[in-house]
Amino acid sequence: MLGWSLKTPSAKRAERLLHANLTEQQRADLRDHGYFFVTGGQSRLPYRVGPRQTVWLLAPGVWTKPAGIFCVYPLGGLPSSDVMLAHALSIQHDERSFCSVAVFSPYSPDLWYGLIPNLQKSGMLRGTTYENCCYRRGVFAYHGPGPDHPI
Amino acid sequence: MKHSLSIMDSSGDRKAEWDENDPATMTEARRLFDAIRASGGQVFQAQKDGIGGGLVKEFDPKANMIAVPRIVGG
Repeated sequence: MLGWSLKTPSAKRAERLLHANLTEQQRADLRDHGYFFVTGGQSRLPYRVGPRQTVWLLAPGVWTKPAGIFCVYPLGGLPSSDVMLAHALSIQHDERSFCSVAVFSPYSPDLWYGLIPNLQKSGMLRGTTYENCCYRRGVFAYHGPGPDHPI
Repeated sequence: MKHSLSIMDSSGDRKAEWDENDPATMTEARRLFDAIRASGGQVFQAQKDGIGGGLVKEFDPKANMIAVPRIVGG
């Protein structure tokens, strides 16, 4: 067994900061799967935070397939663990800003439709990327509601 | 009592530490805090064994904090 690691000092520092700010369950998920879950501060929906700049929006109870994917990253060339912590903190404490800057792509129409009432209820649908993406930008293609949809 | 502001950067993070009873160290930390906020970054309260204690909009000399640079879609 080789006794060395490819991790740079910056990656190790970022990892320490991340681990210090995760719950025990999140640390276990990160160790076992390479990702962990956080709950949106406003929508109360689950998100899966992974090692790159994409974050999955999940439908409650469905952990293996995203309802939608957010693409977002902090500036400054941060190590992966810093990016994960930045995502987690933003989702938990400033979900509205997170969603308003992220590029959002609905992934599974069946799951995404199910989340719309939750997002409406928490006021997360209007004025966020959900709305921008779905109804104005048209950056994704699926047979969903168009600009005239009642919501 | 000592407190810190962990500022995420390409080296992982750098720490600004201050003592509640030492105004000089606190002034420097406050300056960094304001600079991060002005550049569009966000500051969160650090919390042991949990995902932070909330968004911090004004410098809190009694809190340990984590600063995140501005996030952008991509």
